Amino acid sequence: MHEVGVAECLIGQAVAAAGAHGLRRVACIGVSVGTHCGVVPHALGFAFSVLRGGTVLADARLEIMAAAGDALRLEWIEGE
Amino acid sequence: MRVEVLERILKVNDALAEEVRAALDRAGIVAVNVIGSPGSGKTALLEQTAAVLHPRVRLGVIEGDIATTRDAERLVRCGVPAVQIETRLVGGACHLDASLVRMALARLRLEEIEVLFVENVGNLVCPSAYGLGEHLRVVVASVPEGDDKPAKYPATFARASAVVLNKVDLLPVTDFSMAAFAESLRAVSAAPLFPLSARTGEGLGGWLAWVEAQRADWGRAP
Ligand SMILES: Nc1nc2c(ncn2[C@@H]2O[C@H](COP(=O)(O)OP(=O)(O)OP(=O)(O)O)[C@@H](O)[C@H]2O)c(=O)[nH]1
Ligand SMILES: [Mg+2]
Repeated sequence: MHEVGVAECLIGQAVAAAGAHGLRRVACIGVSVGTHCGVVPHALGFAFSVLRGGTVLADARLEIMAAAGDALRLEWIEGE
Repeated sequence: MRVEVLERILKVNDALAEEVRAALDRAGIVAVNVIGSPGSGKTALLEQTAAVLHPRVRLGVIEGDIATTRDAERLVRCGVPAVQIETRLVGGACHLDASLVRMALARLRLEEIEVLFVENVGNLVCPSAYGLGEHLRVVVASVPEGDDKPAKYPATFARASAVVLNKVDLLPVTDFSMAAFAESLRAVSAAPLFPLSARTGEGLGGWLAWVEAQRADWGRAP
């Protein structure tokens, strides 16, 4: 259930990165989620879809990449 | 256009955890994050630990619960400096995070503590993602929960520095298999396992020796 808090952090970071690179619309963001990081990918995806509204991520797709260990990283954002 | 970001998602928590860790290191305190299901016996284990070790090994405790100050009161009755975090007052989180621990540290006299236990909110899942600045993690499981827990919650067990299996006094009345538990733990972790009973005191010695050894390794010289 803490995936909501994680999604909030993720969205904040992605919005900041979009601003820093002058992206006005983000189409997709890539996140790696380690098998031992304690975050459930499905729950993270759900929280993300609920919370992204009203930001440059409003239409963004979340691409979750399985990773090893306790990785939990915003890898990249894609947009224009 | 694709932009590389490569940032830890919980970097705010990570940065605060580093601050906590630095404050603990300055004070020569070894901190142990205690994680386990509700009712596994985390507080009972700390009470027993305090009864034997404190104040020869000077303990301190930060208790995390969603509601009530009961667990901190139990430790205070053992003579241990203890403060309670009630997460219902700060959003109701299912886990502690580094900012909550940092605030709790400000309510303790760090110079009087050698080993600080931080009892996380009872939960075998959520606490594992949030570092608190601790040196060590201990997972407290218990016999009535069943012998399959390391297999079902591998993320939590994999990151344990030690695992306590509490309530071994109940082995005769359950179908718990010690061999099955040990085997599923070994599949994810090489951490030492301490089967014990916080009720009868059986098996407590190995755990207490481990705690003392950690003080020697991480904290101030005794
Ligand atoms: N039979 C038996 N009961 C125990 C043992 N240790 C704890 N208990 C009982 O288990 C219950 C829960 O113990 P607590 O120490 O409060 O457990 P906890 O993990 O701190 O619980 P939360 O803080 O609510 O997550 C209490 O009724 C204890 O008396 C044990 O070794 N054997
Ligand atoms: Mg407790």
